[in-house]
Amino acid sequence: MYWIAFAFLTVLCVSALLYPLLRRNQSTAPARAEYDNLVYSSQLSEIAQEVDRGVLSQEQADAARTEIHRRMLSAAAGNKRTTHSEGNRRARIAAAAVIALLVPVGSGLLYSALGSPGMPDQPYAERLRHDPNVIIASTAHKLAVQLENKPYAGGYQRLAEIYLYLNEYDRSAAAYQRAIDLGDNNADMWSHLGEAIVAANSGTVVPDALSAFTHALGIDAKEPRARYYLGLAAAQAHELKTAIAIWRDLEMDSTADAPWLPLLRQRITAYAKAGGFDPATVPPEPPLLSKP
Amino acid sequence: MKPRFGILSAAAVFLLFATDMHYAAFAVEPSEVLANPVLEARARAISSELRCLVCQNESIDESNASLAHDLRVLVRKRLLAGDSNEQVKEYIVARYGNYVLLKPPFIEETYVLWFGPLILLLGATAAIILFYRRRTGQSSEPTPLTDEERRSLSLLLSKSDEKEEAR
Amino acid sequence: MIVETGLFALILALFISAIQAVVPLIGASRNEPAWMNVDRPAAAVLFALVTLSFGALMWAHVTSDFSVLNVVQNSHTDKPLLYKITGVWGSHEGSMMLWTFILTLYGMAVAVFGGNLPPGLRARVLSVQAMIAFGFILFILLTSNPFTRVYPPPLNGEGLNPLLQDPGLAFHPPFLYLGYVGFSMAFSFAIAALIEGRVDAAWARWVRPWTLVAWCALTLGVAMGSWWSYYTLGWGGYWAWDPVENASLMPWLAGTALLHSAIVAEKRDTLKAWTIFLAIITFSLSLLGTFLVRSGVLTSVHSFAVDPQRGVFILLLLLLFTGASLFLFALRAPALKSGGLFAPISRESGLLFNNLLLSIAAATVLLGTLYPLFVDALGLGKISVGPPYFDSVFVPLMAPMILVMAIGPFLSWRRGNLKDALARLKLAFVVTVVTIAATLMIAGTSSRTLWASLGFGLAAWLFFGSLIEWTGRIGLFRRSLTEAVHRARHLPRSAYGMTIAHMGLAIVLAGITGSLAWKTEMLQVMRPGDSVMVSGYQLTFTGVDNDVKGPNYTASRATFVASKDGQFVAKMQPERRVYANPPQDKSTVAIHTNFVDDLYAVFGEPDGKGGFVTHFFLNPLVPWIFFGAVVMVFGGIVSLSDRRHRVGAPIRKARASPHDSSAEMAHLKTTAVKRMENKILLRGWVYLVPLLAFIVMAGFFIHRLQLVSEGDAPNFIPSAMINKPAPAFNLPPLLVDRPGLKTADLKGKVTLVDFFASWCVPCRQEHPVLRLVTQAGIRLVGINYKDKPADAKAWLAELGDPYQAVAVDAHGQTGINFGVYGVPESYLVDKNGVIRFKQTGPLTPEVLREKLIPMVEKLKQ
Repeated sequence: MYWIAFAFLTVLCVSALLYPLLRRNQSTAPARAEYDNLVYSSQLSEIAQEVDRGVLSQEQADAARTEIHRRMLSAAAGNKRTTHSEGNRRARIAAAAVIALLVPVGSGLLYSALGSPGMPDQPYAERLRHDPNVIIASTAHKLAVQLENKPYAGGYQRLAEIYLYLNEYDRSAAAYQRAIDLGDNNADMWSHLGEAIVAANSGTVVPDALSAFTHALGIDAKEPRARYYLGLAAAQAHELKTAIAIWRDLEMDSTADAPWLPLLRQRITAYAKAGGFDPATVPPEPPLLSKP
Repeated sequence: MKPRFGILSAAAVFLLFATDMHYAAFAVEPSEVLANPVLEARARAISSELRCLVCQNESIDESNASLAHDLRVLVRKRLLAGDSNEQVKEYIVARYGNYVLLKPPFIEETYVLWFGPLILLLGATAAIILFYRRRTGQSSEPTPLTDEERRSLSLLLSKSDEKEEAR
Repeated sequence: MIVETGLFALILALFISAIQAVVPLIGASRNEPAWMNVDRPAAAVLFALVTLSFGALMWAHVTSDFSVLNVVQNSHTDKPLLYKITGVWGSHEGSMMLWTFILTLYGMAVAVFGGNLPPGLRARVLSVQAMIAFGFILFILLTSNPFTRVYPPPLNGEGLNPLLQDPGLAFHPPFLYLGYVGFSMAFSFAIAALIEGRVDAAWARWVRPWTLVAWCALTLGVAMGSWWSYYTLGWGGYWAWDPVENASLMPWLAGTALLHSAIVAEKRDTLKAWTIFLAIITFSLSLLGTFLVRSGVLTSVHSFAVDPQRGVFILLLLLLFTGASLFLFALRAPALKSGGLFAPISRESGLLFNNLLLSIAAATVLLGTLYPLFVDALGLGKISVGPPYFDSVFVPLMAPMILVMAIGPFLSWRRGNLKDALARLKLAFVVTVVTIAATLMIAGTSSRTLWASLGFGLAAWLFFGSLIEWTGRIGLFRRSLTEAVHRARHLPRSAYGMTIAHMGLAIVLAGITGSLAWKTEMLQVMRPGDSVMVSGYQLTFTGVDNDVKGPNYTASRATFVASKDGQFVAKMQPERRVYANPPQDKSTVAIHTNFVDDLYAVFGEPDGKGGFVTHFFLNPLVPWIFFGAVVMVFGGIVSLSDRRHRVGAPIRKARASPHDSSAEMAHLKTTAVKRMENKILLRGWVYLVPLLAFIVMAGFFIHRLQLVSEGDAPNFIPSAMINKPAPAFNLPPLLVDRPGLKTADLKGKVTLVDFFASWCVPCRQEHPVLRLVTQAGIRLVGINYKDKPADAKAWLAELGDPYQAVAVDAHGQTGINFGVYGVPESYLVDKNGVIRFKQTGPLTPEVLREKLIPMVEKLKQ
């Protein structure tokens, strides 16, 4: 489809160029002097007009006329008999062939190097109808504007969740922070904030996230999300035993139907294996909080 | 008075330092302004001739950079201490070099800059005088057509008349 | 589909332009109509393709197609439709597309209106146009492809700089480019004439109107840019001699000269080589401007995102076009025959004088703009050339030109009568003297008003001189009124054009003079209810509305009521806007104008104590500047509408050559040609000078680009303090248990004085290297520059304290005395307390190893 359209365009353009080149009856233009004389005679009539208007004295006009007359003579004299050659028809056909070959092949090659053949347009309105992410993003944007005017904690929490879904972790973290600032100062919010920061740092529990989790546990020492991530932080610091201890502690506190249990158990097994010890030998222990 | 802060875009500009610009309208802060209007006017004049070192082609009078602020305050301090305009500029030049002067000093390195326009003017004038000299003896009034020319011309004009009619 | 078609069309256009550049040129040199006739369809096809491509890009912007990188980087769905469209040329890539679009538009114009051009000339002109187009399309495709795609497309764009979201700036690039690129027409005609080695009679008739089109557009473009700067940036001025501004002024000056020399070339068949030279220079200056703005070789307050690779490409184009054309000029121009003669006092001489001064003015602006670069490249240090230089050099060049501008039109062609002309200007002279005297009487005789009076005098001289010239032409006061009206109606449009444009310049001049001489400004903190007096106007601050909502911004809007003598004058509402995408601030100015004065209000930050910073200007006569510019453009348009610019085409004949050369004609040839051969006026080598000058300049550019691409910021400044004793200081310690620092402490041992601050990001990068300094046995002391002591202590606690002593320079005074302009900076001081070396920016292990340690070793001996 793309290539057909491009080929059509190319043929159209090339044939416009080839037409004058291959046409049999070439009209011959008048000699150069004809063009010159046309200008000179228009200059002469301008002089006449200026004399009529009285802008030019007769004397000046005569001088100007003499000059123009002389230029006319010179142009006529310098004008060789114009020999518009029909030229070599073969050369023309050869040129046409080169053009007909060079343009399509050259354009095709360059396009395949620079273009993204087959890539459709993605107008925003279209995406807004079909692409769920764009729909959500636009909702988030509207919500963000609304919140800007009438901020409330619940709204920001929702916005943060949407951003998290859209993988816009930085914005999500910022929204959680706003929700906390606006009064949702609870363990859940803090641990979500920490999680968003971790996500924004592609999985690393950075100091900012650490302090968010610490905050969460300071409010509710049993907050599971924060405990999980603090375990992960320990694991990332190569303190595998500490990590396992924290996670086993979390495992013990979790109800049997807790959604995170499968993941947690998988982690415990995997990390214990990496550390080369039996997880059961590590006594469960809550995370050590340096500063609340 | 010199233009204080200059942005005119000579092309569709992508303004890299745009964030500076908003504040730039307020480069000089009210707290800096001296009570004595004469001294203040001198301070403004000096500031507009000193380049802000951390900016892109602005004077310290136009810039809201922190160093520009310090230098403005310094200029005013020196003025209050009784320095002349030249002394203030020398004070700053001693520390930052000639680069801070938006009006380059007249030194060896800038002879071409300061004399350039004059040299061009003299050169061009000389060329023009030469141009007229070589033409002396040639009257600017054309000599009338010779008979021969007249004949050829009438031939030429009649030809074009024919063509006119052919149209 | 549309986007990809846009790219394909541009690629196709590249090949079409290559063919348009080659085939008609071959045809013209071999005089084969079949080859020449490819020119017009090729130009039309090229225009259609570039339009298609440009349209596709615009479509992508309008529909917010974020699969296109250019749209992502410069647009956002929130942006109003107008700025989605104009945002197309807000970026480098898009603006180059606009450039090329306009270029092919002009090519199309030659194809459409070129019926009256000799086919050989037209073929060559279109071929040169196509060469330029080829260069620029290749540039776009290889370095600045606006159709680069992104997959997956991001959810939204990054938005456009708010300063570009303004009607003044949105519409000025098209006019500016219509101007810049319009000069390519004169350029192409000039090159065609040089290739042919002859200048046709039709040549000047063509060059002049197209130069006029370009000139009008450029004048409007420059004026719009200046106006934008005036009303959006809130600094109260309109021109600052920034390199980017100069880049637009230079082609304007050269183009104005070209406009006038083309008249002489047409009317008198002389000054042809000069006109061709100006045509080359004018377009080259346009290209140079493009290069300066986009390559990063000069520092400017505003430029495109700088990319040395693009710079290299544009420089190549510049070298190719300008270098080749100046070479061709040196080769062919000496052989161009000169036509009509003229006396030193004549209309021609007046125009020559104007050309001379305009060209020198353009050269001076070029010299001033590039001089810092030359000096730097030659290793003579760093200097700045700023507004004070340009002001002091430009004015003496322009004043005599304006003086002569009023006289020139009175002189007749060939040989004029100066006495007669001056006699007719008697009235203008009287008005001038009265103006000067009146100005001095009203405004007093300070040196500033003296200059102002001279400026007004010149403006009056030009204005009334032009007016009197017009009345003289129509015979007003000398003949009956009906006769005068009749004459006025039949006066050629081009004559009106000149009068109007010259009067426009007089108005601009008066405006500039007034605004420079009597601008007043008030800067203060105001609380609601406060009022201030600004030259007779009382401005009362009535309040702030912090809740103003725009389409893509929120704003605080202040309201000021301006009154004069108790009478209400205007309500003024400047704003401070905050844009969301990209997150940036912008302040909008409120201007109240009565067409003589502008009252100008800017609203600033709150001071935290209930007050706001406010800034007021009274800008006298500034409206005249922009009005005058519009008048000038109007003059240009009037002149453009003159019927004289339209010459018909000779009738095409079927086959036979129209001229039967008779014996008489053959005989005529010898005599006529002999007559026309004038002495060659300048020796051949003179024509080489421009080429040589250009080569030297290009050498500097290449050197500079190399530096830029190696990362040498053009702003790097060497210290003035090297080999000078360290300044006197005595600073308190940062930590109580440690000593402070004074000048005397530096003596006795080689010491590195390091300026640092906790708020400085590169300092963090530098910090580990400081340990290496002490390990190398160099005494290291720190000066904590403009920092909060608590922050600094925390910083040292966190990163460690390598310093033998840390002193506090709370207000940066000692920093200034050392010549510090941006931390971190470190100074190596020898045993005698003399500064020997300065490192600007963070110390690196390389600098330490290669420079610092060897130098310390040397100093220790």
